[in-house]
Amino acid sequence: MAKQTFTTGQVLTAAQMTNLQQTAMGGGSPVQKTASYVLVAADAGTVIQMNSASSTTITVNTALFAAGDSVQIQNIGAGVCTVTAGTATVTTAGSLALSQWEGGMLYFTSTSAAIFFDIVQSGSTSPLTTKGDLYTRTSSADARLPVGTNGYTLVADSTQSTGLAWAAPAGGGKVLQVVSTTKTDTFTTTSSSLVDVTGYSVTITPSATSSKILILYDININSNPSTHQGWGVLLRNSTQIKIGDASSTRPQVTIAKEMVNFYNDLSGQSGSFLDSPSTTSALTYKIQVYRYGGSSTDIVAVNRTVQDNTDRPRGASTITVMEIGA
Amino acid sequence: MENIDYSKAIAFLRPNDEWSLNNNDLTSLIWHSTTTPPTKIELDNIWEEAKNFYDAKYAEQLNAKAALLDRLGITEDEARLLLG
Repeated sequence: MAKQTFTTGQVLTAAQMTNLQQTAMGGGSPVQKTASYVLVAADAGTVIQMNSASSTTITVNTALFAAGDSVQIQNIGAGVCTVTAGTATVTTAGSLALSQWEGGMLYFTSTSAAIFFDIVQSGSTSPLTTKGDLYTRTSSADARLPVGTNGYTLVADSTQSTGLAWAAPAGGGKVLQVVSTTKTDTFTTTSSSLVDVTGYSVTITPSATSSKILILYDININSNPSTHQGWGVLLRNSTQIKIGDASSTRPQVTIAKEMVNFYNDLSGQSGSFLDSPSTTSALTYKIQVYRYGGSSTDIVAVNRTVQDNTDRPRGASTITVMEIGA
Repeated sequence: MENIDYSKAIAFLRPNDEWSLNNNDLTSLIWHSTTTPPTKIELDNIWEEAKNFYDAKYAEQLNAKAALLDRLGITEDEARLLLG
Protein backbone atom coordinates (compact mmCIF):
# COMPACT_ATOMS: atom_id res chain seq x y z
CA MET A 1 0.00 0.00 0.00
CA ALA A 2 1.39 3.35 -0.95
CA LYS A 3 2.15 5.86 1.74
CA GLN A 4 -1.07 7.54 2.88
CA THR A 5 -1.87 10.85 4.54
CA PHE A 6 -4.54 10.11 7.08
CA THR A 7 -7.02 12.66 8.44
CA THR A 8 -8.57 12.94 11.86
CA GLY A 9 -11.61 10.66 12.24
CA GLN A 10 -10.93 8.76 9.05
CA VAL A 11 -12.30 5.19 9.13
CA LEU A 12 -10.24 2.50 7.40
CA THR A 13 -11.83 -0.49 5.72
CA ALA A 14 -10.81 -4.06 6.53
CA ALA A 15 -9.11 -4.35 3.14
CA GLN A 16 -7.14 -1.16 3.80
CA MET A 17 -6.10 -2.44 7.23
CA THR A 18 -5.01 -5.78 5.75
CA ASN A 19 -3.00 -4.01 3.09
CA LEU A 20 -1.43 -1.73 5.67
CA GLN A 21 -0.53 -4.74 7.79
CA GLN A 22 1.10 -6.50 4.83
CA THR A 23 3.08 -3.42 3.99
CA ALA A 24 4.20 -3.06 7.59
CA MET A 25 5.42 -6.68 7.46
CA GLY A 26 7.47 -6.00 4.37
CA GLY A 27 4.94 -7.42 1.93
CA GLY A 28 1.98 -5.98 0.13
CA SER A 29 0.70 -6.13 -3.41
CA PRO A 30 3.51 -5.36 -5.83
CA VAL A 31 3.33 -2.78 -8.54
CA GLN A 32 4.70 -4.64 -11.51
CA LYS A 33 6.85 -2.97 -14.11
CA THR A 34 8.00 -4.44 -17.41
CA ALA A 35 10.38 -1.70 -18.50
CA SER A 36 12.84 0.74 -16.94
CA TYR A 37 11.12 2.92 -14.40
CA VAL A 38 11.71 6.21 -12.54
CA LEU A 39 10.41 6.16 -8.98
CA VAL A 40 7.68 8.66 -8.07
CA ALA A 41 6.52 9.91 -4.69
CA ALA A 42 3.53 7.56 -4.71
CA ASP A 43 5.90 4.59 -4.67
CA ALA A 44 6.82 5.22 -1.04
CA GLY A 45 5.83 2.18 1.00
CA THR A 46 5.12 0.01 -2.06
CA VAL A 47 6.76 -2.97 -3.68
CA ILE A 48 8.07 -2.29 -7.17
CA GLN A 49 8.41 -5.57 -8.97
CA MET A 50 10.35 -5.60 -12.24
CA ASN A 51 9.55 -8.33 -14.74
CA SER A 52 11.48 -7.99 -17.96
CA ALA A 53 13.57 -10.32 -20.06
CA SER A 54 15.84 -7.41 -20.92
CA SER A 55 18.07 -5.29 -18.71
CA THR A 56 16.21 -2.49 -16.96
CA THR A 57 16.85 0.32 -14.49
CA ILE A 58 14.94 1.82 -11.59
CA THR A 59 16.02 5.41 -11.19
CA VAL A 60 15.99 7.29 -7.87
CA ASN A 61 15.64 11.06 -7.87
CA THR A 62 15.58 13.72 -5.15
CA ALA A 63 12.73 15.66 -3.60
CA LEU A 64 10.24 12.79 -3.91
CA PHE A 65 10.65 10.91 -0.66
CA ALA A 66 11.02 11.89 2.98
CA ALA A 67 13.52 10.53 5.47
CA GLY A 68 12.20 7.20 6.71
CA ASP A 69 10.34 6.33 3.51
CA SER A 70 11.13 3.03 1.90
CA VAL A 71 10.52 1.26 -1.39
CA GLN A 72 10.90 -2.45 -1.84
CA ILE A 73 12.38 -3.51 -5.16
CA GLN A 74 12.14 -7.02 -6.55
CA ASN A 75 13.32 -8.44 -9.82
CA ILE A 76 11.51 -11.52 -11.08
CA GLY A 77 12.46 -11.09 -14.74
CA ALA A 78 15.40 -12.71 -16.51
CA GLY A 79 16.95 -9.35 -17.32
CA VAL A 80 19.19 -7.66 -14.77
CA CYS A 81 17.48 -4.75 -13.04
CA THR A 82 19.85 -2.04 -11.82
CA VAL A 83 18.92 0.44 -9.13
CA THR A 84 20.33 3.68 -10.49
CA ALA A 85 21.07 6.90 -8.68
CA GLY A 86 19.43 9.66 -10.69
CA THR A 87 19.64 12.97 -8.90
CA ALA A 88 19.59 11.26 -5.52
CA THR A 89 22.47 9.35 -4.06
CA VAL A 90 22.16 5.64 -3.48
CA THR A 91 24.69 3.80 -1.37
CA THR A 92 24.95 0.08 -0.73
CA ALA A 93 27.35 -2.46 0.66
CA GLY A 94 26.24 -4.94 -1.94
CA SER A 95 25.28 -4.66 -5.55
CA LEU A 96 22.75 -2.40 -7.20
CA ALA A 97 22.45 -4.88 -10.04
CA LEU A 98 19.71 -7.36 -9.31
CA SER A 99 19.63 -10.65 -11.13
CA GLN A 100 16.43 -12.62 -11.41
CA TRP A 101 14.85 -13.39 -8.01
CA GLU A 102 17.00 -10.82 -6.26
CA GLY A 103 15.74 -7.74 -4.47
CA GLY A 104 16.23 -5.31 -1.66
CA MET A 105 14.88 -2.33 0.19
CA LEU A 106 15.53 1.28 -0.74
CA TYR A 107 15.50 3.22 2.52
CA PHE A 108 15.62 7.01 2.40
CA THR A 109 17.71 8.83 4.97
CA SER A 110 16.81 12.23 3.51
CA THR A 111 14.99 13.61 0.52
CA SER A 112 18.12 13.25 -1.54
CA ALA A 113 19.82 10.13 -0.22
CA ALA A 114 18.89 6.49 0.10
CA ILE A 115 20.52 3.26 1.22
CA PHE A 116 19.84 0.13 -0.73
CA PHE A 117 19.80 -2.92 1.55
CA ASP A 118 20.60 -5.79 -0.75
CA ILE A 119 18.79 -8.62 1.00
CA VAL A 120 19.76 -11.39 -1.38
CA GLN A 121 23.45 -10.94 -1.89
CA SER A 122 24.07 -10.07 1.73
CA GLY A 123 26.48 -7.30 0.99
CA SER A 124 28.86 -9.33 -1.19
CA THR A 125 29.47 -9.53 -4.89
CA SER A 126 30.68 -12.50 -6.87
CA PRO A 127 34.31 -12.28 -7.98
CA LEU A 128 33.63 -14.70 -10.82
CA THR A 129 33.92 -13.32 -14.33
CA THR A 130 34.78 -16.11 -16.71
CA LYS A 131 33.64 -19.59 -17.63
CA GLY A 132 35.30 -22.12 -15.39
CA ASP A 133 36.25 -19.65 -12.65
CA LEU A 134 36.34 -21.07 -9.14
CA TYR A 135 35.01 -19.24 -6.10
CA THR A 136 37.78 -19.39 -3.50
CA ARG A 137 39.03 -17.36 -0.62
CA THR A 138 42.23 -15.75 0.53
CA SER A 139 42.98 -15.26 4.19
CA SER A 140 40.76 -12.19 4.23
CA ALA A 141 38.40 -12.10 1.27
CA ASP A 142 36.56 -14.07 -1.35
CA ALA A 143 38.63 -14.49 -4.48
CA ARG A 144 38.48 -15.75 -8.03
CA LEU A 145 40.69 -18.59 -9.25
CA PRO A 146 40.70 -18.52 -13.06
CA VAL A 147 40.07 -21.79 -14.85
CA GLY A 148 43.27 -23.78 -15.38
CA THR A 149 44.91 -25.15 -18.50
CA ASN A 150 43.09 -28.04 -20.13
CA GLY A 151 44.09 -31.30 -18.50
CA TYR A 152 45.49 -29.65 -15.39
CA THR A 153 44.26 -30.60 -11.95
CA LEU A 154 43.59 -28.53 -8.85
CA VAL A 155 46.16 -29.01 -6.11
CA ALA A 156 46.61 -27.52 -2.67
CA ASP A 157 49.47 -25.02 -2.68
CA SER A 158 50.08 -23.03 0.48
CA THR A 159 52.35 -20.61 -1.37
CA GLN A 160 49.36 -19.29 -3.32
CA SER A 161 47.09 -16.58 -1.87
CA THR A 162 44.06 -18.85 -2.25
CA GLY A 163 45.91 -22.00 -1.16
CA LEU A 164 45.10 -23.55 -4.51
CA ALA A 165 46.85 -23.88 -7.86
CA TRP A 166 46.40 -25.60 -11.19
CA ALA A 167 49.14 -28.09 -12.04
CA ALA A 168 49.94 -30.74 -14.57
CA PRO A 169 48.81 -34.16 -13.34
CA ALA A 170 51.52 -35.84 -11.34
CA GLY A 171 53.47 -38.22 -13.49
CA GLY A 172 54.32 -40.59 -10.71
CA GLY A 173 57.69 -41.58 -12.12
CA LYS A 174 56.41 -41.85 -15.65
CA VAL A 175 58.14 -40.47 -18.70
CA LEU A 176 56.24 -37.28 -19.49
CA GLN A 177 58.12 -36.26 -22.61
CA VAL A 178 61.17 -37.24 -24.64
CA VAL A 179 63.32 -35.00 -26.82
CA SER A 180 66.28 -36.26 -28.82
CA THR A 181 68.85 -34.91 -31.24
CA THR A 182 71.20 -36.92 -33.40
CA LYS A 183 74.17 -35.27 -35.06
CA THR A 184 75.23 -37.10 -38.18
CA ASP A 185 77.65 -34.63 -39.72
CA THR A 186 81.14 -33.86 -38.48
CA PHE A 187 82.75 -31.31 -36.21
CA THR A 188 86.38 -30.38 -35.68
CA THR A 189 88.12 -28.01 -33.31
CA THR A 190 91.54 -27.11 -32.02
CA SER A 191 90.14 -25.10 -29.10
CA SER A 192 91.84 -25.65 -25.77
CA SER A 193 88.73 -24.41 -23.96
CA LEU A 194 85.22 -25.84 -24.06
CA VAL A 195 83.23 -25.16 -27.24
CA ASP A 196 79.76 -26.15 -28.42
CA VAL A 197 79.53 -29.01 -30.87
CA THR A 198 77.31 -27.63 -33.62
CA GLY A 199 73.99 -29.46 -33.80
CA TYR A 200 74.64 -31.52 -30.69
CA SER A 201 72.24 -30.12 -28.11
CA VAL A 202 68.66 -30.70 -27.08
CA THR A 203 66.10 -28.37 -25.49
CA ILE A 204 63.30 -29.44 -23.19
CA THR A 205 60.76 -27.49 -21.15
CA PRO A 206 59.76 -29.37 -17.98
CA SER A 207 56.03 -29.34 -17.22
CA ALA A 208 56.62 -29.19 -13.46
CA THR A 209 59.37 -28.01 -11.15
CA SER A 210 59.31 -31.38 -9.41
CA SER A 211 60.22 -33.26 -12.57
CA LYS A 212 63.62 -34.79 -13.11
CA ILE A 213 65.42 -34.89 -16.44
CA LEU A 214 67.17 -38.08 -17.49
CA ILE A 215 69.93 -37.39 -19.99
CA LEU A 216 71.30 -40.16 -22.20
CA TYR A 217 74.21 -39.29 -24.42
CA ASP A 218 76.70 -40.86 -26.73
CA ILE A 219 79.35 -39.07 -28.70
CA ASN A 220 81.92 -40.27 -31.20
CA ILE A 221 85.12 -38.37 -30.62
CA ASN A 222 88.62 -38.75 -31.90
CA SER A 223 92.00 -37.17 -31.44
CA ASN A 224 95.59 -38.28 -31.62
CA PRO A 225 96.43 -39.79 -28.24
CA SER A 226 100.13 -39.53 -28.95
CA THR A 227 99.85 -35.72 -28.86
CA HIS A 228 96.50 -34.63 -27.42
CA GLN A 229 93.08 -35.79 -26.32
CA GLY A 230 89.50 -34.71 -26.89
CA TRP A 231 87.54 -34.34 -23.67
CA GLY A 232 84.01 -33.18 -22.95
CA VAL A 233 81.66 -31.78 -20.31
CA LEU A 234 77.89 -32.19 -19.95
CA LEU A 235 76.01 -28.92 -19.40
CA ARG A 236 72.52 -27.69 -18.58
CA ASN A 237 72.42 -24.29 -20.24
CA SER A 238 75.76 -22.87 -19.04
CA THR A 239 76.03 -25.01 -15.91
CA GLN A 240 78.33 -28.02 -15.85
CA ILE A 241 76.23 -30.77 -14.31
CA LYS A 242 78.33 -33.92 -14.47
CA ILE A 243 81.99 -33.48 -13.69
CA GLY A 244 84.41 -35.01 -11.26
CA ASP A 245 85.27 -33.39 -7.96
CA ALA A 246 87.96 -30.73 -7.97
CA SER A 247 91.36 -32.10 -7.12
CA SER A 248 94.42 -29.91 -7.40
CA THR A 249 94.84 -28.88 -11.05
CA ARG A 250 93.25 -32.00 -12.49
CA PRO A 251 90.77 -31.15 -15.26
CA GLN A 252 87.14 -31.78 -14.25
CA VAL A 253 85.32 -33.42 -17.12
CA THR A 254 82.41 -35.68 -18.02
CA ILE A 255 84.19 -37.74 -20.65
CA ALA A 256 87.91 -38.24 -21.09
CA LYS A 257 88.17 -41.78 -22.30
CA GLU A 258 90.77 -42.00 -25.00
CA MET A 259 92.09 -45.31 -26.15
CA VAL A 260 95.51 -45.39 -27.68
CA ASN A 261 94.99 -46.63 -31.20
CA PHE A 262 97.16 -46.88 -34.21
CA TYR A 263 94.29 -46.85 -36.60
CA ASN A 264 92.61 -43.53 -35.93
CA ASP A 265 89.32 -45.15 -35.00
CA LEU A 266 86.33 -43.44 -33.49
CA SER A 267 86.03 -43.72 -29.76
CA GLY A 268 82.34 -43.86 -28.90
CA GLN A 269 81.62 -42.65 -25.40
CA SER A 270 78.26 -42.81 -23.71
CA GLY A 271 76.71 -42.11 -20.34
CA SER A 272 73.70 -40.84 -18.47
CA PHE A 273 72.77 -38.35 -15.78
CA LEU A 274 69.62 -37.68 -13.75
CA ASP A 275 69.20 -33.94 -13.37
CA SER A 276 66.89 -32.05 -10.97
CA PRO A 277 66.58 -28.60 -12.55
CA SER A 278 63.56 -27.44 -10.44
CA THR A 279 62.18 -25.20 -13.17
CA THR A 280 59.54 -25.02 -15.86
CA SER A 281 61.72 -22.87 -18.10
CA ALA A 282 63.28 -24.21 -21.27
CA LEU A 283 66.55 -26.07 -20.69
CA THR A 284 69.28 -26.85 -23.19
CA TYR A 285 71.49 -29.87 -22.58
CA LYS A 286 74.70 -30.40 -24.52
CA ILE A 287 78.23 -31.72 -24.35
CA GLN A 288 80.99 -29.25 -25.01
CA VAL A 289 84.40 -30.53 -26.07
CA TYR A 290 87.96 -29.26 -26.03
CA ARG A 291 91.49 -30.24 -26.85
CA TYR A 292 93.58 -31.32 -23.91
CA GLY A 293 97.31 -31.27 -24.52
CA GLY A 294 99.11 -30.92 -27.81
CA SER A 295 99.13 -27.66 -29.73
CA SER A 296 96.83 -25.66 -31.97
CA THR A 297 97.76 -27.89 -34.89
CA ASP A 298 96.11 -30.83 -33.15
CA ILE A 299 92.51 -31.46 -34.10
CA VAL A 300 89.71 -32.93 -32.01
CA ALA A 301 87.06 -34.49 -34.22
CA VAL A 302 83.44 -35.51 -33.59
CA ASN A 303 81.77 -38.14 -35.78
CA ARG A 304 84.94 -38.50 -37.84
CA THR A 305 88.54 -39.36 -37.27
CA VAL A 306 91.23 -36.74 -37.32
CA GLN A 307 92.84 -38.52 -40.23
CA ASP A 308 89.50 -38.99 -42.00
CA ASN A 309 90.95 -41.05 -44.81
CA THR A 310 88.43 -42.75 -47.05
CA ASP A 311 88.78 -46.01 -45.17
CA ARG A 312 88.19 -44.33 -41.82
CA PRO A 313 84.72 -44.41 -40.22
CA ARG A 314 82.17 -41.71 -39.86
CA GLY A 315 79.82 -41.88 -36.86
CA ALA A 316 76.71 -40.31 -35.40
CA SER A 317 76.14 -38.91 -31.91
CA THR A 318 72.86 -38.67 -30.01
CA ILE A 319 71.70 -36.80 -26.95
CA THR A 320 68.28 -37.71 -25.52
CA VAL A 321 66.48 -36.13 -22.58
CA MET A 322 63.40 -37.46 -20.80
CA GLU A 323 61.20 -35.62 -18.34
CA ILE A 324 60.41 -37.96 -15.47
CA GLY A 325 57.37 -37.07 -13.39
CA ALA A 326 57.91 -36.80 -9.65
CA MET B 1 97.89 -41.08 -48.89
CA GLU B 2 96.44 -38.70 -46.38
CA ASN B 3 93.03 -37.15 -46.94
CA ILE B 4 93.11 -33.36 -46.94
CA ASP B 5 90.24 -31.14 -45.88
CA TYR B 6 89.65 -27.64 -44.56
CA SER B 7 90.27 -28.67 -40.95
CA LYS B 8 93.73 -29.92 -41.78
CA ALA B 9 94.40 -27.04 -44.14
CA ILE B 10 93.55 -24.50 -41.43
CA ALA B 11 95.68 -26.36 -38.87
CA PHE B 12 98.56 -26.35 -41.38
CA LEU B 13 98.17 -22.68 -42.35
CA ARG B 14 97.46 -21.36 -38.86
CA PRO B 15 99.26 -23.67 -36.44
CA ASN B 16 98.99 -21.20 -33.57
CA ASP B 17 95.28 -20.45 -33.77
CA GLU B 18 92.26 -22.13 -32.25
CA TRP B 19 89.03 -22.60 -34.18
CA SER B 20 85.98 -24.86 -34.69
CA LEU B 21 84.44 -26.05 -37.94
CA ASN B 22 81.22 -27.91 -38.57
CA ASN B 23 80.96 -30.51 -41.31
CA ASN B 24 84.08 -29.17 -43.07
CA ASP B 25 82.01 -26.16 -44.11
CA LEU B 26 84.03 -22.94 -44.12
CA THR B 27 80.87 -20.86 -43.61
CA SER B 28 80.52 -22.47 -40.19
CA LEU B 29 84.05 -21.54 -39.12
CA ILE B 30 84.24 -20.19 -35.58
CA TRP B 31 87.54 -18.45 -34.91
CA HIS B 32 88.48 -18.62 -31.24
CA SER B 33 91.75 -16.74 -31.63
CA THR B 34 92.03 -12.97 -31.85
CA THR B 35 93.72 -13.13 -35.25
CA THR B 36 91.90 -12.85 -38.56
CA PRO B 37 90.64 -16.19 -39.90
CA PRO B 38 92.03 -17.39 -43.22
CA THR B 39 90.07 -16.92 -46.42
CA LYS B 40 89.04 -19.74 -48.72
CA ILE B 41 91.51 -18.46 -51.29
CA GLU B 42 94.34 -18.61 -48.79
CA LEU B 43 93.41 -22.17 -47.90
CA ASP B 44 93.03 -23.23 -51.51
CA ASN B 45 96.46 -21.77 -52.26
CA ILE B 46 98.19 -23.93 -49.67
CA TRP B 47 96.02 -27.00 -50.35
CA GLU B 48 98.68 -29.00 -52.22
CA GLU B 49 101.39 -27.97 -49.77
CA ALA B 50 99.23 -29.08 -46.87
CA LYS B 51 98.42 -32.33 -48.59
CA ASN B 52 102.11 -33.04 -49.15
CA PHE B 53 102.81 -32.23 -45.52
CA TYR B 54 100.15 -34.61 -44.23
CA ASP B 55 101.12 -37.29 -46.74
CA ALA B 56 104.69 -37.12 -45.48
CA LYS B 57 103.49 -37.16 -41.91
CA TYR B 58 101.25 -40.14 -42.60
CA ALA B 59 104.10 -41.99 -44.31
CA GLU B 60 106.34 -41.17 -41.39
CA GLN B 61 103.80 -42.63 -39.01
CA LEU B 62 103.45 -45.78 -41.11
CA ASN B 63 107.21 -46.18 -41.23
CA ALA B 64 107.53 -45.63 -37.50
CA LYS B 65 104.80 -48.15 -36.88
CA ALA B 66 106.41 -50.71 -39.17
CA ALA B 67 109.77 -50.15 -37.53
CA LEU B 68 108.25 -50.60 -34.09
CA LEU B 69 106.45 -53.78 -35.08
CA ASP B 70 109.67 -55.07 -36.62
CA ARG B 71 111.61 -54.24 -33.48
CA LEU B 72 109.01 -56.01 -31.35
CA GLY B 73 108.93 -58.95 -33.71
CA ILE B 74 105.15 -59.00 -34.01
CA THR B 75 102.66 -58.36 -36.77
CA GLU B 76 100.05 -55.60 -36.87
CA ASP B 77 97.28 -58.11 -36.10
CA GLU B 78 99.25 -59.38 -33.11
CA ALA B 79 99.71 -55.81 -31.89
CA ARG B 80 95.96 -55.23 -32.20
CA LEU B 81 95.39 -58.45 -30.29
CA LEU B 82 97.59 -57.20 -27.47
CA LEU B 83 95.61 -53.97 -27.23
CA GLY B 84 92.26 -55.72 -27.38
